[in-house]
Amino acid sequence: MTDKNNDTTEIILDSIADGVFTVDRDWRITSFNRAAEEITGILKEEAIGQRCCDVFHASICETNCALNETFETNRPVVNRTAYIIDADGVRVPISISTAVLRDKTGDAIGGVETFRDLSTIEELRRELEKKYSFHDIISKNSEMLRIFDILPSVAESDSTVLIEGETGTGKELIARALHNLSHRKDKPFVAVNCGALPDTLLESELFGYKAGAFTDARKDKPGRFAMAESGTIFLDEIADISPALQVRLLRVIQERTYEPLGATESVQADVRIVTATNRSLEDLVKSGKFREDLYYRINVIRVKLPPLRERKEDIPLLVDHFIRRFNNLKKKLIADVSPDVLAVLVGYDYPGNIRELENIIEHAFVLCRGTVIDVENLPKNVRPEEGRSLARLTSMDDVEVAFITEALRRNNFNRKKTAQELGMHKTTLWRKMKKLGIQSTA
Amino acid sequence: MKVAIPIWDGRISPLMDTACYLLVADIDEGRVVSRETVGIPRAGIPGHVSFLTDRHIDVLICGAISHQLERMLAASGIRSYPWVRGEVGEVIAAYCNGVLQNDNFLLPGCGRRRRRERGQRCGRRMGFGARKLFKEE
Repeated sequence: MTDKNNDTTEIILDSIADGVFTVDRDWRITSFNRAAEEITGILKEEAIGQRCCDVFHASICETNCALNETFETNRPVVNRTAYIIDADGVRVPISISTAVLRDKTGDAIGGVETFRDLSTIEELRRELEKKYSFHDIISKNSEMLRIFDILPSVAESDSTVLIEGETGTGKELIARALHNLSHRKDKPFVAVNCGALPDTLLESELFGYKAGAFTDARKDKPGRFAMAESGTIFLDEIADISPALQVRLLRVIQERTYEPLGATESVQADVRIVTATNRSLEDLVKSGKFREDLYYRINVIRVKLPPLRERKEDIPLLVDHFIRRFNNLKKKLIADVSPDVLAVLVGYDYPGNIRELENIIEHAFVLCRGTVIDVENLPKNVRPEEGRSLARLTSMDDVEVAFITEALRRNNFNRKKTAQELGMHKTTLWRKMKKLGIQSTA
Repeated sequence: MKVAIPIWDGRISPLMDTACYLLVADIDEGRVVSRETVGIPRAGIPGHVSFLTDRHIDVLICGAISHQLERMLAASGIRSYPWVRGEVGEVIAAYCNGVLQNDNFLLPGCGRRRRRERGQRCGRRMGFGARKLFKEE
């Protein structure tokens, strides 16, 4: 009768698509189904009686064994991702689940491990990623896909491009993609953050100087325009340059020549200019802070990047991308984020856009000890405040605090914008914040 | 000759790609002259290779290993004897005595690999008619 039962069990185990093996308390394999043979490339006869790590050689055997965890905690492990090296030396991604095996009296007699070959899923994921990625930029948002569509033609044109987008939306990635798609791709790509340098320094940085141009100029120094010769120069935060520098830049764009500081002759510049800003140049032109002629010169082709809060459908893709990136960088084996985390991440407004999402995932990587990122691993400012959900608020003051804090967060803690959104004067908002004890920064 | 063995719990580590510790033994005329254990930084496959080359390792004896790492080791001039298992002391003694090819030191599946690949991988290295390969040269 027992033999018959064993046979039936074996038939059932062999008929399922997941690999299954069982071990005794000494980690010796006691059963090994057909799918396990196929996935590992090791025959049942060879596996039975062997230590499971000698058969399985998984990435988690040494440091994060799922069966060991199950024995220690008496709790099953579900869908832990790892990889094994099969008998041919090929890396096979798998998902592992484990449970304790008990006898009739309830004593643990060993463990069972089931594992699923994720190779096909992994391939499909890679295909999807290919479909939704363009030169390191990942998106399936319709507006972004439209940009991906026009970028090759824009790159070919050699015209000046203005990239608009909030901080962290990937303006430099677009500039690099434009360069890499252009005929200048084998020449230098030089990025300059115009907002990072004081005006006088920026001028010598961009155009270079001749020996003797000023007290410490002992020898000639080529500027960024010279360094980018035949290539592309990317001028980030273009709105921050002074009116004087705007004039010089206008001349470079119009005449393709410039003079290094202290030079008497002009230098020819064969450089494609790509500019970017996180402010509205149109508004700056209206208020007289940015030259209209320069604006029209740099605004030949405009690429406007949507903020992350307007392309939330990309959050799962981006989260997945950052998890893989940080797994590689930090040598970790984090598989995913929990559904709660994804809900929190989709609900958040990202004033810092994709860069902020990247920082959130990096923060979670540092704190996450398992294989799935949980809500506790997220930075405090992203986590929903406990007891702050509207249903749990008990007084009008509480409701006001929650409402104003949320509006402030949405507007990157800009009080003027927040006041406008809430339809009150900024002094009224300030007074309310003070009364309710709301912090004015993140 | 410097021989390296990834170790875990006194035995050869099941997977070279993710091993945490490495035993480096200096072997001269079949005798272990010195040995030390070092931690392997988690720096991926290229990191593993440079970690071994920086220590001037001549031979690596290990358990399972990915093709990718095995090829990179070969390209770096490190001779590897993969798919080996067992207690570290016994493995070193077997290597010194040229008997590492014995079945009890082979990981399960190695026989199948041998048959399938006609000695191209394990077979060639594990000493079928080439036992002297395992003798310290």
